Amino acid sequence: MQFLPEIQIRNNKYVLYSLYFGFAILLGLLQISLIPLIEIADSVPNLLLIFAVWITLREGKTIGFLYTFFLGIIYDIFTLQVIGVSSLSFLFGVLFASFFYRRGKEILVLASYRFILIVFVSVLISNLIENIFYLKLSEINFWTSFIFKWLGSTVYTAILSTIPFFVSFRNKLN
Amino acid sequence: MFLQKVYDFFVKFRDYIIFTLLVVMSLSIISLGDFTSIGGLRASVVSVVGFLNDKLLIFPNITALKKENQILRELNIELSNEVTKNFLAEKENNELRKLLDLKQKSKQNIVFADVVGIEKIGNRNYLIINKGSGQGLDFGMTVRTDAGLVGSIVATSGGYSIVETIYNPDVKVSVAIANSSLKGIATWDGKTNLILDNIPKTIQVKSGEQVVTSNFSSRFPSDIPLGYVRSIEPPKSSLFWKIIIQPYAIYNQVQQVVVIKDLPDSSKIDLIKEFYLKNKNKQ
Repeated sequence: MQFLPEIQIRNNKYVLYSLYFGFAILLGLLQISLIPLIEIADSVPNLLLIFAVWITLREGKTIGFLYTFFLGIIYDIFTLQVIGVSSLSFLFGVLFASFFYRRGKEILVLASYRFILIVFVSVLISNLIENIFYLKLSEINFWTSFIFKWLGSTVYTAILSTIPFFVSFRNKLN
Repeated sequence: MFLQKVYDFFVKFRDYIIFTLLVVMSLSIISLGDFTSIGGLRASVVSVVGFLNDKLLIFPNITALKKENQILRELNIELSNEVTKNFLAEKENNELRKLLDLKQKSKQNIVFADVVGIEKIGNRNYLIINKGSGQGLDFGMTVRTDAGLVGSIVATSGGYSIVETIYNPDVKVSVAIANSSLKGIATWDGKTNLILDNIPKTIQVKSGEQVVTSNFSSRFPSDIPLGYVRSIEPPKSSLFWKIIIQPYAIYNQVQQVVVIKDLPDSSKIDLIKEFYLKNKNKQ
């Protein structure tokens, strides 16, 4: 069951996509301000990637890919990285998630435990690509960097994805 | 007919065509490199990041403070011993300078700043400090603590700056072993130490020796303490030592830093460039 305002927003795509845009900016700000405060053993979750996976599973592949590209650019600008790297890595991560999109059954995927697993694998793919990119000219061992710096972040992001999962689960029950 | 087939193909594989286009766009953006047009946007982002971190970090990080206090106490004991020695040495030095009629070196132009945030982006670590271009800070300025080198400034806004720490895979520090002519390039090992390799086994290196930035560096001023030699590993199949350096400044325990406002001597870099250009032209 959906609430009336939600139905109205869903019917007006412009409002819906503007809301997604605003939410992406908000998540970008949270990523650089609040998230560092909850780091565990040098690992921080990636809110924008969770959102990218969520949009893909909620709105479909085309919208998902377009928003993922945009979210990657936001992430790179906000974290002062090379522009385009996160877009690229997010896109490949989300490509995996897109295989689980089911038209008309979106909420079933978002409210199932599979969502957490999808986020985990998507973040893993994305982090692997970023790891390869940033270690290209460095002398750091690939696996050292991946295990110490990226794997923790992958697990942490998957754990944090339980929040949208529970929200969807509650909506499904309603 | 052909157009119909193209249309059908596009409709059928629309998602993957869009995906491919976006990947190509990402790669193009990466290859284009830095966007000067978004420089202003990034400066605004630095301001927002600094502001948010400044306002959100109202609760001090107790663990970090405890660790820093312990390190500072130990350092204080060492320094109090050094002060006595230095007092006598400075006195003697002044007398000798007068004799040689040398000008006393001017004190470095420095700015104190508080660390208001730590950014960890994958395997790269940055600090956000509460001083920026408003206080005369600029790209490339060296940042250190009383203990040692932290990194250099990579972005500034009016009131905040972002510091790229030495705990980054692409940062290479030209270093020297104090009291020795040994020089090399130190790089981060991806965990908590720095590695200095390509040092021939014929050169004697001892554990505990202090490592400082060398005068070969075009990025950092010379003689800034970096760390000490923690261990020396002799690889079996190599003629070179692998020296593990324990840095003095641990970026995630730093609360206050000093920014050295003097930028590295650009005339030295220009001379090297000119030299290479001349040699290239001769060839």
